[in-house]
Amino acid sequence: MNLETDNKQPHRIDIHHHILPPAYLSTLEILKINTLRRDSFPNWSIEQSIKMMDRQKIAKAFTSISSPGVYFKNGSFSRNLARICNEYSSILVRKYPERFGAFASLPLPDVEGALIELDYVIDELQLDGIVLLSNVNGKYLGEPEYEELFAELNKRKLTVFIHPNNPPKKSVNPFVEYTHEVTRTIASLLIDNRLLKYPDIKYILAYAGGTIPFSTNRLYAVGLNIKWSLLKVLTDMMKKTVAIKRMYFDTAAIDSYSLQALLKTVNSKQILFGSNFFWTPESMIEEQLNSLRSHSKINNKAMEAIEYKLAQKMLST
Amino acid sequence: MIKSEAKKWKDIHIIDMHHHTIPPFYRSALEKSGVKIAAGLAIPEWSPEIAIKVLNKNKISLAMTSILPGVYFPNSPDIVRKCNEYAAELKNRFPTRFGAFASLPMLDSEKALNELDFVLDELQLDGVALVSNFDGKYLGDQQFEEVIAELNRRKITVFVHPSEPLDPDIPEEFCWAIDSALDTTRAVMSLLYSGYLERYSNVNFILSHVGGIVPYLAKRIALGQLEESNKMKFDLGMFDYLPNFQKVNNGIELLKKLYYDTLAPARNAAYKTVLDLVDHTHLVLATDYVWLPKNFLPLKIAEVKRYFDNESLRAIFQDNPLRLFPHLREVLGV
Repeated sequence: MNLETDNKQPHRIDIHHHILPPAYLSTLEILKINTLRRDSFPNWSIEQSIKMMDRQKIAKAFTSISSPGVYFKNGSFSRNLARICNEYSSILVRKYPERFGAFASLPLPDVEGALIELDYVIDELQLDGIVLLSNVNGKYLGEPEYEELFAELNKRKLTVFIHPNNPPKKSVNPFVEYTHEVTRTIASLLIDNRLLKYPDIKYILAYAGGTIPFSTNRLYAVGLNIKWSLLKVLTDMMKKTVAIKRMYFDTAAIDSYSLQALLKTVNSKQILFGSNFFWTPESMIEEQLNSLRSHSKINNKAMEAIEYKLAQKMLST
Repeated sequence: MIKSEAKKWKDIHIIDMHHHTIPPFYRSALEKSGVKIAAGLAIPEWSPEIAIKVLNKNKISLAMTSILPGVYFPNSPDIVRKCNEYAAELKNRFPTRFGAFASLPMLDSEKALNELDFVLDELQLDGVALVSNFDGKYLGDQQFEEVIAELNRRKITVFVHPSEPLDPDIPEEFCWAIDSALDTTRAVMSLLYSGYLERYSNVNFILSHVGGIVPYLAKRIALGQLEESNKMKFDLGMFDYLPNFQKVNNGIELLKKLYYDTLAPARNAAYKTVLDLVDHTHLVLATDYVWLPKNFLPLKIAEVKRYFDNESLRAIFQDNPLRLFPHLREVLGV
């Protein structure tokens, strides 16, 4: 409990907030997907989100569909599922414009379907950005066929929320390894320079960037050519460092250890509050925010930026 | 004529715990089995003469060497034996410059126990290097308990190094650099949740690459410690690969007992994080020569010197290694 927060009106902006549209949940049931790793999907409802938001002083939540995402079969099945989910999010936004924004889902690896859906969700539904899962069926975001999509995301200067999906095979320890998926997908964007080629995309990385803050040296080695001169190597690493420093990292899964690495990697101005509702228990939210509050680099002003001011600016809310 | 006497740095002996040798027979074995090193790296040249020059240039008194046949030859006790004999020969030629972590053919417990006796009693090597997994079996595997129990009985220092990422479904092209840290982390988790860290506490584990991702993920790894109210809805069966999994309530405490080498996967961020978990008394120097080309060694060592204060450096370079290998005092004349 935080007495300061108790007396405040809902003010936080939550950029990592999951929903389960009924049609989506039914689809998962039909596909016999009842659990994510070992957890059953909860009985989510709009009321549950709003109640949680009131409890946690969240003024506005930007929703997204979490793993396993919307792609299960090629063709119209997944395109329709994406459309259903995005329409649902849109209804939520229209019904409660002060309380909800939304990141739209795309049916990757169906690139054509993704481009069609992108146009629709931005031009027609006017949603706030796109959520991209780290991989679908083993294809990470650096996939060559996704070039066109990234060009379009860049052209439209969109906000892209990067969220893990289950690793391609049953991983050795899913709980610990899940957030590492963010690192893998960013690594995939370094192979053909895609990350640097499209600098107008604003990336929000879920789970504080996964394991990126502890892996930057290794990450920057991706795409390096051993035959380059030392100067070229250092220049390349500098560009990658700058690109990472311009990304945004959410607070879900932050703890006192990971925060040390995060604040050595980026400025606190790049941090955004994210609850990972409905997966992370609410009790951990305060713990995560307390880690931030008690860090020497974070003062009240910085905390305000993290809790809502930065998101306000970014997502023009 | 090699100048084989070491120069100290200030009045401290710099001891490097992470130095890979590549004996000629091993290089041939790698080439013969078509091992392709990731990222277009060629198998580097290594020789005692050049290595000593590199040590001298960087004022490294002594390097603890390792070869790690477990990565590419997990089923070859013969290659393991040859690696250990080579290491012993190197030590005998240059006793004040090289120590050695022995390798063990872990997939055959009987052979591994015999090899352990041999390397300690006959060859008198200093410790044991184990890769994170042998053919997909992580170090906490039931199969390895006998060997770990013996390492415990003998109070051995064990250097844990990642194996090459073996997962064919994870694209090597961009994951080679970032996934090996995950493998070290998996090995540590398996050691924790098998109960081995608790039960076999006379083994001193040194984790390479600042523990992979262990310091960063420490709280997540030690999740068993969370109070009931905070416990996420993950049942303890999350470790599918560890049938001998047991509940652990003191995970962080056990992770704090481990040693972490300074080969940082992230500049400064790694040091900052690991110092939250342990202090300078549990860090040791790593250069990763010869996989790290010799031109980069001064940079690597300078990074460590720049980050840590003198008291910490004395511990990292000298006192911590001497605590782990007390006999080195005599060797180095400390």
